[in-house]
Amino acid sequence: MSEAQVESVVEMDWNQCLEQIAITGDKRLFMKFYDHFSPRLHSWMLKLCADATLAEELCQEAFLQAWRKAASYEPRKASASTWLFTIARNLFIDAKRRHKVEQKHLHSLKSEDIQIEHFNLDSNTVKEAIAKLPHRQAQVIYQSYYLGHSHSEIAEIMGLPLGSIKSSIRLAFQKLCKDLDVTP
Amino acid sequence: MNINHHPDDSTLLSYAAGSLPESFDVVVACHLQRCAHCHEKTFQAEAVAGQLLEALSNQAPSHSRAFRDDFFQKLEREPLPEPNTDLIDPRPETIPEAIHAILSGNSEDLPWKRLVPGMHSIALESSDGGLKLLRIAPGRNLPMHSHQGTELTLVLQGAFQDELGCFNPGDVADLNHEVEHQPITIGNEACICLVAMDAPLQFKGLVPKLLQPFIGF
Repeated sequence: MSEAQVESVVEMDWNQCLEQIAITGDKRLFMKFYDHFSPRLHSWMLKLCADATLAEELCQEAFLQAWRKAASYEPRKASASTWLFTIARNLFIDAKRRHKVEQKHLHSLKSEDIQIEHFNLDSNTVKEAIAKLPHRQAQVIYQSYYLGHSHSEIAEIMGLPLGSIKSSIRLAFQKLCKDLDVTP
Repeated sequence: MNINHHPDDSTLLSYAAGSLPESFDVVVACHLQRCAHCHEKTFQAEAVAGQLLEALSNQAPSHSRAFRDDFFQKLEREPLPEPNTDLIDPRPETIPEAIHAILSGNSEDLPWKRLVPGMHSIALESSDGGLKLLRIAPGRNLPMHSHQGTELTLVLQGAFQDELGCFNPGDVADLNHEVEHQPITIGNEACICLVAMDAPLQFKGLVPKLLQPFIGF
């Protein structure tokens, strides 16, 4: 049985795992955390940066920061995946401000019609929640989260007024919060 | 503080996703410092991102083994996590110094540039070049205008009123080209706003249009 299969049989509680890492400083346990999230974070960063070297650099740095900041993780505030996402996102924002992220080729994206397969999701709950969204709402969610496009960029790519883009994001946000049980 | 006008939920989602231009990011960050409601919304948008991350397929890229080894070597050199690490905000924002000065009542010392009588501005640094401070004297109004792109305005001091209502310190006007408005300051003090824009304004009427190069928006 491969490591991935073992993991799927014995589901880890990644929130507890992080807390444990902070207490024990167990580097082997941290590598389990790395093995679980690294392929996921890497594919996200690859979409965001459109640059394999930078994506890898941000990914590695995010995990190093996760290790160093493990003691500041608070499971009551955020899940381990949310916490890791915020670390990686901040690194992406820094890279963007230092102009390390190349200018997007907006026009080459015009023809891309984003389907549910592009989300590359394994979990049924999240997949179903995305599949339930009207097509335009799924597109704006994909472009906002995975491609890092601003409202104006999305409006240009999709050839739609800014107001429509904003309302599509707003409606998709409401539905995802409800279907994914994200409550205040 | 009683805040009545907030950024649109779509703006907060993009802030959480890291997809706003820097100037808009700074305006939202300043608003979040005072607004628990929007803080909560941002947490929700981050939680959605967390679930999207967790749900991603775990198909590893083909070169991942070498990177894993490389990471493990780096990790081996790391000291143990500091047990007393301060509980830091996961997103420390760079709030421009000028904003701290305004919020502590020292706006007069800043290098305001006069645009037209009663209207001053300061261009603040941002990677997209869309961030400005705007100071409008009491009783003055901006010419009627709409927007080509989006505009996010946070009131820092004083107040203004337009077709959408009264905006007091902490309030945000989140506008796009569908909105045409004519803001006018209210009260006895100058109104100072932090403004992020991704396209110039579109003024109505010949005189404001002629003045646009001087107004600089």
